[in-house]
Amino acid sequence: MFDQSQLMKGTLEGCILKVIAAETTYGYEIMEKLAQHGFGDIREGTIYPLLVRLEKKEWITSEVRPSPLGPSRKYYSITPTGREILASFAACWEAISRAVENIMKLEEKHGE
Amino acid sequence: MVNRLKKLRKENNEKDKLLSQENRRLMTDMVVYLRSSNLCDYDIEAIRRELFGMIYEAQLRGETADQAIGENYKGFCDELMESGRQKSFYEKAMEWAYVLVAGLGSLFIVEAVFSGVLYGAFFHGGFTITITLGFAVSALLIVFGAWAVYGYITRYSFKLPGKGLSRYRIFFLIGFVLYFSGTIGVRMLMDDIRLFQVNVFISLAVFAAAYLIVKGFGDRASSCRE
Repeated sequence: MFDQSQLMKGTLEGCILKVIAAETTYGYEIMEKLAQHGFGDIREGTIYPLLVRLEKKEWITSEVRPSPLGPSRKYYSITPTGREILASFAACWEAISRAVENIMKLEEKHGE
Repeated sequence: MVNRLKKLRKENNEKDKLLSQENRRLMTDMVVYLRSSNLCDYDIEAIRRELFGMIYEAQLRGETADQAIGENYKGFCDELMESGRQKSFYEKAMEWAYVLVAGLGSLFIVEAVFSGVLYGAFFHGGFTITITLGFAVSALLIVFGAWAVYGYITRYSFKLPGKGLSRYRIFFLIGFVLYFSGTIGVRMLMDDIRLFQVNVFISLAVFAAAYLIVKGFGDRASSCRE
């Protein structure tokens, strides 16, 4: 069985940046959006260390706001640097996904 | 800045009471494990605040901590350790200085009390205490040993709890007994070698001043920058 965690590791940061670029949001909501769009087996615990890393790199910024459920929540917004990185990720993804698709279309030759 | 860390820690301690017993135990294990890392104290408390939010909201939704964080708590904490801000050389040095001053100062007080010097100072006017090689070496061994115990407990916080004798607990117990016995042996063998005499009250004053200075600088360092 192919280990998809390595594939996920390479793409999750870019996907999280895109979700945050769409609107200011918080950890659980980011997880829900990713799950809705196909990242089925994802938890808030997977997202949180990535958010810490993205904030440390100053690709996103955060502010604490009160939440209806009780404890305050950290809401994340993308920074101008984050937008540049997102654009770069999108371009890289397009190139790599096109290359992978082409490779996957190769016919298998057996018995030669 | 000095109170910022204390204020956040106090807030976190209050919030923890809202968690279920199981979630509180898990939170404790994770925070203890994070303390084994090189993350600065304020960052650990900031992470703790966010972990509380994550686990508490999951609790309110009727979910378990596993569903929120995943089952690999150690892996989760390892990723946080990699992503967070590491302590600077100055912060680590202040931490070591605090441990040495507080540890040696406490042992000096114990030595002064149990050697009868303090009693003698009040009732007979004798103010000096003799520092032997045995005391000096055993005090350093105790301070370093205590630091090692702290490091071991924090590093294996996920493995030490639970019932029964796990290999981590057995290793810990054996190591502790051997180290403690060795320290007593060193004290007994070297206690005849006198190094110098000091005035007990001046020494206590020096330790108190050193403690306040190191604590002041250390608190400032551990508050970090946000």
